[in-house]
Amino acid sequence: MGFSLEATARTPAILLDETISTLSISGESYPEDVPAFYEQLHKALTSYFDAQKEAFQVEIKLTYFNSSSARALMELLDRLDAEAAAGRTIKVSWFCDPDDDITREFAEDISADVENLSLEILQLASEA
Amino acid sequence: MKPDELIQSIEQELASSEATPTEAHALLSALLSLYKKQQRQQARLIKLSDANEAKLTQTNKTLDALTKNLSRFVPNVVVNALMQDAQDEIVRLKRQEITVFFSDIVGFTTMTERLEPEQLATIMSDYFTEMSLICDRWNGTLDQFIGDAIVIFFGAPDSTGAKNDATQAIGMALEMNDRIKYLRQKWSQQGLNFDFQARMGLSTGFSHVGNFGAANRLHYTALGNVVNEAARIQAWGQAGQILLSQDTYGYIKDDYECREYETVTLKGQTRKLTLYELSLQQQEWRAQLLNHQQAGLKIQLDPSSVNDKDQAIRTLKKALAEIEDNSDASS
Repeated sequence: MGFSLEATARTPAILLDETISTLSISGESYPEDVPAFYEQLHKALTSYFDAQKEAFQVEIKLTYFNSSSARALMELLDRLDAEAAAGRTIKVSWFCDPDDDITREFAEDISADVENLSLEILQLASEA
Repeated sequence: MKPDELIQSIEQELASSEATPTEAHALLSALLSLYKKQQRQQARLIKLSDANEAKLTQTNKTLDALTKNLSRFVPNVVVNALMQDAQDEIVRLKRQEITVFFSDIVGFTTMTERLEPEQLATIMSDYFTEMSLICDRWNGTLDQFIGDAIVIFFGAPDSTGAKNDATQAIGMALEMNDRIKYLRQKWSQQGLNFDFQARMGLSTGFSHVGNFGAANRLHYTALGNVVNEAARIQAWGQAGQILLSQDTYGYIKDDYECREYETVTLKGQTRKLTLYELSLQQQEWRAQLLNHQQAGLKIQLDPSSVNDKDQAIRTLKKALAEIEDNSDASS
């Protein structure tokens, strides 16, 4: 139970699983209307945070995202950081392709601005 | 505090004019902190955008180089289908009337015995490069080089009508024949004296065209009797001759001078076929390279015969400037 979106060529797969308190974002992100796309996730998160108080885990596995999506991700992390500041335990695991310096550097830069949640940058396992 | 909430608080405090120095200081501090964060976020976005742009530029360069190199090995039709990932187009076969051109160098084996391998490689590279350029100029589809032979067809993947396809093929054959004379002179100046000549054969008919071969190794080519016929007709001719099948002749007889050559039964075939020999003296093909006429302008260009390129470019630039000046003055 929760909120899910299938991946398309331009948008990532999103799965907010309320039963195990996890959020997963994976694939590529360059939607035509970035704010409208991520607004759906924010609405689902609002419902979830209102109803649940458990520790929350987030996995980000994006192989490509454009600048507008990067902005949306920063907003998402700000929101999660605020939620963590309010007392919820939040752990974010950001998986980067070993060859993708751009994403890794971006995730490292962002980690400097999160104060309350735990952000870990990990290596994306290569597909077999 | 969220940016909107912070802005609202500051506006309220400013409106009430009752903020204490401590409250004002706290708000200013929060504002400064938010401003710094936004500066960092902006810098991140610019950095990300620059990195993505650089990556895209590099990818495009690689793709351009790959496409350029790929089109040296396979016809553009295949390159385009691959670029669009058009699987249907890659495996599609088409029944199409085409004109096939087949040429072979006379005495190639003897030539290979007389020349050093390096000399042979230079000569063949010169020859194939020149012939390919001429093929492109006449919109032919270069099927393949088979040893010293060249197979080209007209009418697929794109056809401008069977008659026009055949006419283009004839223009190409005549220009190739002409170019071989130039190459002989060039090689002679380099001390390579030998009677380099080609035999050429053309045939028109229906064929299946498409990417044939194994599922993991395809080749864009034409299959059908017309291809074999062009090869056999070529083999029937003498050095420097261009022979045509009856069907090719039927399409081009009003535009090019030919003479009936011989009625033969080609190897492997049962029916008799009248072959026609194309006159090599005619210059009509030259006019097809660029032939434009309108009031106040007449231009006829054969790029391969231009011996003073700088002078030609100067003349064309001058003409262009005159036209532009004149149109500026009249507008």
